[in-house]
Amino acid sequence: MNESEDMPRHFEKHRHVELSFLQKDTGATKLVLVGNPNVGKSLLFNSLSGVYIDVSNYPGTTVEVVKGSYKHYDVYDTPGIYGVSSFNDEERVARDIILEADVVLNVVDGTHLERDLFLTQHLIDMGKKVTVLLNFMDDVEKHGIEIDIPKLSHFLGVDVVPICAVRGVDVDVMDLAIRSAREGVQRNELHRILHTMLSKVGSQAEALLVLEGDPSMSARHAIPAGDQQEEIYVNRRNRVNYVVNQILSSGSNTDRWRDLLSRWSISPYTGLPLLLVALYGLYLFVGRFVAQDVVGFTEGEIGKGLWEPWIRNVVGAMIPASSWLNVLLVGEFGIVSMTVTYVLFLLLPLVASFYLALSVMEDSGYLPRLATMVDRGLTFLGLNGRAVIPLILGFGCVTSATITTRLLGTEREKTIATAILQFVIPCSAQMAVIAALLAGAGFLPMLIYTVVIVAVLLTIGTVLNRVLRGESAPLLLDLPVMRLPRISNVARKTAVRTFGFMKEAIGWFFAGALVVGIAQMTGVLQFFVNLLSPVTTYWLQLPPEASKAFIMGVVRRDFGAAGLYDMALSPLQILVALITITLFVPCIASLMVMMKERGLKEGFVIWIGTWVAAFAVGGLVSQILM
Amino acid sequence: MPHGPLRAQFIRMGISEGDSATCFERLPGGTVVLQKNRQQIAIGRSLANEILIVIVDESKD
Repeated sequence: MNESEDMPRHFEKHRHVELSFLQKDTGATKLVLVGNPNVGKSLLFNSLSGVYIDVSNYPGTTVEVVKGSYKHYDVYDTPGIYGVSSFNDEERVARDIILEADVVLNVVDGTHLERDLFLTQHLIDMGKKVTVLLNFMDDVEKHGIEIDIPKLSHFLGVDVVPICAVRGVDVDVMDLAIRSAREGVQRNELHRILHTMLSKVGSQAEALLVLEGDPSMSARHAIPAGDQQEEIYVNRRNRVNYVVNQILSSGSNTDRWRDLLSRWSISPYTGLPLLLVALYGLYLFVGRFVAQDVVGFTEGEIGKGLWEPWIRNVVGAMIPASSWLNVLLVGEFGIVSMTVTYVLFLLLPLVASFYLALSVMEDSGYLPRLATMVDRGLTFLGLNGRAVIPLILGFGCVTSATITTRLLGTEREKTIATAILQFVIPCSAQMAVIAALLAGAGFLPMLIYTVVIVAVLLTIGTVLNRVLRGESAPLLLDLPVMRLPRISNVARKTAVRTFGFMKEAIGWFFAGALVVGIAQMTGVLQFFVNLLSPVTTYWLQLPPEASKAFIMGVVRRDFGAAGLYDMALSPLQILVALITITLFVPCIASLMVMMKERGLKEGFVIWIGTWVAAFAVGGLVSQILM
Repeated sequence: MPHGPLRAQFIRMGISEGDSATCFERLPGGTVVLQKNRQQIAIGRSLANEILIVIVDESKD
């Protein structure tokens, strides 16, 4: 029986949902794909909606929501979740979309039924119209697993359609699956307790979430959060286990090669060499191919060779070259000349290639295993294994990595990871210059540089771990099966993430250029250079021009490092200058994003901290060695 | 088993009180990877410490 249909007035009265985001285009049926992480949801989405997709950040989160259309349906992809609640941003976003869904296509991994059917039953308990798409049927056969599909369908009360998303899905099968979506079978005892809550809330889905203690749902209806989550969860789990026992005759639980590969990537003895291989591959792809060949072409040929001269002419024809507006637009830090080249022709290829590498590592199942391997090490820094993702990304672009710290579980971890990124991780733009200068300085300076930077990293993590209150979340990570990544999936992820980053950060790069342009014209830039000179000369024992490199580093980190190129420095001076510039403040875009993510106060403290650390450590090394 | 959201997450993933699982890998430092059916779950040291386990002889399964 559909209770919500029995009381339409009540239902309407309580539907004060703030989902304007989803309500933009009413009329079309909302078809929502829901499933655990790595069950092939995105692949299915791609084959359903083709290329005409619309990606946007869900309001107030970084979680990307992908929307497309299939026939007369609006199709939404949701983040992978294990249950419907509000433990993190992904879940909140998925929950809100599910609440609005007309039809839920629940994608289930046929080889992980015990895990996946929990979510299925959760959706059914919410009273949603569901069809289960049983994916990875090829793997199911390969492992000799036998699933009694009619019986599963009988237990759940909804249709169960076997598919193999990799091989493509037949249109007629999908149409039937969508049309036959219906409400499934609930356990009687849940039905009873739901009934009471339903009269207060009006929607079965929301009633269930209130009972399960979802804070935002109870706030929405001004009802105290329920305390029955554990009871409901355990009962649901027992029910699922019972169903699985009835319908599944299990084949082999092991897959020799996958298990071996999994073990190798997790255990440090084999995992560390594997990591080195992966990092070397990353270096060849990003550091050599993209940073040199691709960027050499896009920045050098297109940006500086074509775009800048052209735009200078265009602007010059309209605004006299001597005017301040001309300087601001196309001068040394021109907003439409230098900044466009930087953002589109240098940063974009670099960030995209990092996201591509990350997506491959993620989709192959390697990244979660790497997180597992480094977990214990990172706990000393107050982080858990998950933090490896923003830390790796930081070597691409600290700004994008700072945004990614959102995936960490607690505020404390976000602070620590952000601080480490902003203090010690050199981004790719900066690293190219650092590597070139260090190579010229010789082996010993290179060694000292590495030791000092690593020591600072460990110090920051350890100190923050001690000082910050609270506790970091422990690692609890479901390791997906190791698979060959699908090109379409990787391409889509890369595109979505790159686009998200550009959208979020691009404005700050232009704002930064504007600020520096103005500072240069008004003499403020020179004022700061002069102010810094005594410290540079006496404490760091570097030529006075180095101050300009540092001040430029406030804007763009590679500017700072590149400024050192032209100076005649001794190997020790190179060492001191590079240590200082690595630890020195992040670029202005990074700073802005950090302020937004971590708040003005925390952002400012970290920013000031980088000034202090850079000059303190750089100066100490200089005073000791020179 | 631990309480709160972590417990809920365990139940969702398929591990609840009284379940049995095998240890797929135990890393130096204490991170543990459990295997239940075809599923592998990594558990950090501090969390693993909270879980009371009883060792069951495989031959009895």
